[in-house]
Amino acid sequence: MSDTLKNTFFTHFHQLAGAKFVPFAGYKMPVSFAGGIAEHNHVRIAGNAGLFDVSHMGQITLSGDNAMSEFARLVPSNIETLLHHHAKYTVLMNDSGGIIDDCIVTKNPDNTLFIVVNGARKEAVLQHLQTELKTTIITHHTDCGLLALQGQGAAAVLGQYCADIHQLKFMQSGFFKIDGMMLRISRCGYTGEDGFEISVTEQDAEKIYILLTQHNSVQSIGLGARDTLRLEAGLCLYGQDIDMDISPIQAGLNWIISKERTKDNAFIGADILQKQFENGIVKQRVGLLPQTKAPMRQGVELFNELDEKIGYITSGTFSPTLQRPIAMGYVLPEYTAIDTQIFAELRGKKVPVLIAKMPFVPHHYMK
Amino acid sequence: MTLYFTKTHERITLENDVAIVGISRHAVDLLGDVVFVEHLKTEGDVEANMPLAVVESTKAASEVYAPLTGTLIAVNNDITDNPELVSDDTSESVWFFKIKLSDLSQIDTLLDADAYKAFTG
Repeated sequence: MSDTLKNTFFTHFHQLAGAKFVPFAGYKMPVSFAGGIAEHNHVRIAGNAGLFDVSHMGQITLSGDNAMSEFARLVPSNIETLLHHHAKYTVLMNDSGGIIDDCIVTKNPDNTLFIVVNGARKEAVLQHLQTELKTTIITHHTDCGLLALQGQGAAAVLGQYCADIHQLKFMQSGFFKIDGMMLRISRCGYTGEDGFEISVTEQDAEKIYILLTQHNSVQSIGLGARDTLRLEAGLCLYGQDIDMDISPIQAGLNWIISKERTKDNAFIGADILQKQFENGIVKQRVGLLPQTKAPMRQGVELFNELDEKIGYITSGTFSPTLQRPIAMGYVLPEYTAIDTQIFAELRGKKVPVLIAKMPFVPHHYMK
Repeated sequence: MTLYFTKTHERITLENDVAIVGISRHAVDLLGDVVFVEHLKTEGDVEANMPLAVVESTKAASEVYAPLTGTLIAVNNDITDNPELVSDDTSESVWFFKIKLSDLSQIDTLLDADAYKAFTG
């Protein structure tokens, strides 16, 4: 593996645990430990928790008197009503209505904003912020790693060190004392399970990692299982399911869009979204259930019964929980009704696929 | 029994003039959990490098090629019913298909275990 790849604070732990590595967003990241399906199943079992090293993700603080109003101009969500310690999932928009990145933004008690962005999009996001935010101070926390503890047993593990953690609800964030360390902990994640993201500096990294992994219910989980977990949860992966040319309406993310702010042209790309609300969209993201055992992946084309091309798959895998293939992709709007039968072309053959509701596996968020 | 390999990670054993073809342990390690196997052809004449099966893991799909030219005489349907047999194959005994070779001298084009080990590093 290339020497130019960066390590995280936890790479040596992964090596000791026998991880297989892949290059990802400029880092040497663990793709699997015990095996993707075993890791996936571990996270889904009640009482368990999986520990993910997601230090490749970007952690950024925005500060200054105008941080909120300036940042609000970049996102379609009703973000200015966010309460202290509360977080929202949203997207950074470009002026053609596409998505620069998806992110989670937290409003801190001092009115600064903490945002977590995708590893592979850090540079693009930072450039966008520097261009668009006129007075806001942008601090990229290159000195911080990020761990995600995911699963229905995650709260019990953290609760052993900090009873206050149980007061944190889904999409809330704050600083908590764990065994003498003061850590930013957010109750969120990307697996569909309850869980937490824990921001750590180098000084605390080893200690928190050892503390968490010593629990019998906690196992290290690689990026492979992270992908099957998020797909079962119906969550978008940037670069596959969403990108610079797909609008949040097309992506089925209407729940993050404020119709009022769209009408008021209050953010970049709002005019495009307004037109899409008025005139409709050319394609929409849907869940897909292939009707044979063959997995269907990114790039597979979708057809109607007349053999006309009507869409394509953006993510697909074998679901370990459901023991069957699942996928998501984009189809023309007239094919989005649940249980509509369409066809995928797989190795020259047409295979039936049903439009399905997402998530494929129910979420277990602690709301 | 002597094991032969190809650069596309097929594993071959010979029984007289029949090549019994599986995939190497190295290939299984690269694939991860195998979740799907499909035979693209179940009988008839085959040529070296023709794709004969598809094997998919949670991560990726790849093809299994005919390592040599001959006649396809059998395919293993146990692995299409239970794809996990492929990932669980620690003894390097799970086979995908059997080819009756048209010409035994073709074996010289294969890698022996040492050459394959050197190739996969």
